[in-house]
Amino acid sequence: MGNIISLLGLAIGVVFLICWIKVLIVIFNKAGVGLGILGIICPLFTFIWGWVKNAEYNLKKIMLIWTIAFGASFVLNIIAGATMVASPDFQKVMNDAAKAAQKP
Amino acid sequence: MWARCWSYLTAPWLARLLRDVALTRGIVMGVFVLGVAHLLKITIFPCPFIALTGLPCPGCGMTRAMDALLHGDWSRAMAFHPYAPIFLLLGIVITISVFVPAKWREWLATRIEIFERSTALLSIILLTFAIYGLLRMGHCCLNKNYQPFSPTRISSVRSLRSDR
Repeated sequence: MGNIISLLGLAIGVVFLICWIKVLIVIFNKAGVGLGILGIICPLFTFIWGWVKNAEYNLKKIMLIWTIAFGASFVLNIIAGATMVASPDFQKVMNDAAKAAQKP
Repeated sequence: MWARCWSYLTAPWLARLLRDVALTRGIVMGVFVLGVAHLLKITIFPCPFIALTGLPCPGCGMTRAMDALLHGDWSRAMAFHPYAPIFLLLGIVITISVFVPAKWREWLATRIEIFERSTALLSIILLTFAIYGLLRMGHCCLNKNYQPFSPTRISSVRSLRSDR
């Protein structure tokens, strides 16, 4: 299960990265280097810029793909979190932590 | 050539951003949603860079640093991201520009543009931010003990264990 989630996460990560870079190129070309660097530093800014300027620079398709990937990653994070909590490794960590907390 | 390159790199960006009302509104709304999700311990916008490479992007740690800063914990904020106070100030300026009348926003944007053109300080801050991010990335790349925490990686449990 963990491997499937990791692979799905990787696939979504690739889609995320491609959309991010495509929008970043548009930012560097149309909005200047300052906002471009801001887009590198903060992917959320790139995402918002892409949606705000989608009609102006014909970015709707990329932004839709990015948003779907964003939704999928959100769902995957929830599934991955549940899987991680159920994993024996995590249970062991929590038990160790509980034992350590009980010690005076 | 150097002068052209310098003027390209140091072109005003904050004034341009402030004049774009739709964009600033979008940023304020986005940051608000991100902040609420952070308070609820939900990751709604995972960093694409760390998800794919396992290395922190230049902006990684900024949300946690802002959280620490808003709780008055300066040392923790600096440990997470040393540029957090500067970006908190920028956030305040952008938020103010959203809520003030158009005339005041234009006045603010003009003042900031003059400041940017005369000092190039904001562009230098952004450039050093990017360089800091690259250096941190290199440090994490070379440090064999570095393990990022990401729920999509089961191995991150081991990093949890090493934290304790």
